[in-house]
Amino acid sequence: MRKLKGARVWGWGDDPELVGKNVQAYLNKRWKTTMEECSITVDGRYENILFEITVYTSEPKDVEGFVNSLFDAALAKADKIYFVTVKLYDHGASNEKTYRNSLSFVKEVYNKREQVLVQKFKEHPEVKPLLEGGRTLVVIPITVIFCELESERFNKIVMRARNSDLEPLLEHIHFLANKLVEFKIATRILGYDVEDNTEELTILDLDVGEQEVFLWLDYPTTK
Amino acid sequence: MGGGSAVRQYERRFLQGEPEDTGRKDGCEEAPHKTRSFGEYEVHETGSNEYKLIKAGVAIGVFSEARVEEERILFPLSRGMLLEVSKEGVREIATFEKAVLFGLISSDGSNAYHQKINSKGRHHTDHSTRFYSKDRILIELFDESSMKIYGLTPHHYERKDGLITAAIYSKGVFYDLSDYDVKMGAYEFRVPREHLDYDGKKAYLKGFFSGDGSACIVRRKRLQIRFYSKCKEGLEGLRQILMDLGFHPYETEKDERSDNIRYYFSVPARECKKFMDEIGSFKPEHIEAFREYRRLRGEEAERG
Repeated sequence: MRKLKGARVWGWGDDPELVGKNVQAYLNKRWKTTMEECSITVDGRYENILFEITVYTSEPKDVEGFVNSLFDAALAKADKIYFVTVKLYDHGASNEKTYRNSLSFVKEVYNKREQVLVQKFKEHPEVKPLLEGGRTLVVIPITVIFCELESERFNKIVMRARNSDLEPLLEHIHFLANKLVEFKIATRILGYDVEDNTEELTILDLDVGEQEVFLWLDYPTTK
Repeated sequence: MGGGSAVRQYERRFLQGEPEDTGRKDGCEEAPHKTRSFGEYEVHETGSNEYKLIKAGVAIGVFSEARVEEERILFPLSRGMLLEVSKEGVREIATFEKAVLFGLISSDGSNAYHQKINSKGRHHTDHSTRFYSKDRILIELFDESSMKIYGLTPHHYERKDGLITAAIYSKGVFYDLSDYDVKMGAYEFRVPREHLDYDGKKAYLKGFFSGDGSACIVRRKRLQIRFYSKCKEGLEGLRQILMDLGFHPYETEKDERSDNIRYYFSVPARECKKFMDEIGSFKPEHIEAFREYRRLRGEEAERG
């Protein structure tokens, strides 16, 4: 079970009108009957949110129009679309991606994670002395949110967004989901998930206010 | 650097026509009013309001304009460049407008050529320099820079979703920008550090940040300033010029999802005010975030 082939078929600077054509041309040329599924991903950035939308299909014919709509949905609220990539699989790759938790579950995990990180970092030698005057520690950890959507045309649609603040992340995910529904690519949201890691995060930046100490947490640069 | 005949290169760089065949007789023609030395170079200001640049006794350039500063003299060249003469020697540096243009193209632009075969079977090459944005203010900035530097008005193409492409179709512009390697490929850019003085570095950063930077208020209280790119080497170049300007940017981070990697680095929270004051942005959303941050800081100072 492996990814058989893949290619970037569009990048910022190429004519946006070519997105659908390039995806379709690649699939027409590379799709074989031994293949089970292909994925098409649009990667972009809106402000400080990095995001991707991936659609999975086993029927690569006539996707051009849908891909153009997918691109339009992503671009509706994006400062940049970095690239559009296509991947081919000899198995149902979308089965490995399931994000069906509720929104309240995600918020609960996020809040618990924040508490764990506050406990962990308030004893940190760089932080502890700053809290002695009675300041509160506020952690701002890098956070990755996933969202799964149902579709009539595609096997599955998955969104991933990364930022350090939950509220704008969810706002952006919901904006994109609404656009996908409006453009008839998706029918509804099936669920969410959030990366729940606390061990690997390290201090990226630190800002001392009157009443609070703000701590930005991210993965080590070597990761 | 540069192509064509020596005379054309000279014209392009010095805007003064053919070079003197010998500089030795120049000194006899007219007594200089003022002479300044910068290492092995001398600049003579003549009575006819001209400036002669002399190296080892030979006039290598005559200029009708100059900006004299304590440590250097600047002479205007063509296409938004200046000739800087200082103790370190001579170099071509970008004007504010050209440095902004370099930054805009490095972030959200392209500089490329495409070979085509026309209906008669003949090969034809299209050269184009483009800038893409949904922000009309940034498109206008690109237009103004293009007009001021090259005397060309870009063509506009607007999609229904608001993405505007401003395009200059000029072989000359393509080769001019290629000389500085500001955009080598779809995802590759290079900071032309050797062509940027102190103000040029600020202008380049402001142009780049307006395209591929983010300024966001986090948790309704703190400002986060970041630079993004797919080109790690380019981001390292940006970090380097920020350091040249006295900033301490953090190491480059990456967001890796399978084989697609996007890089970013942050400006430390303690240097956000310095960034706003010294670099800034042309992008309205960034300017709004800066304004909000100043308001929040003002409130905090009042409470303190």
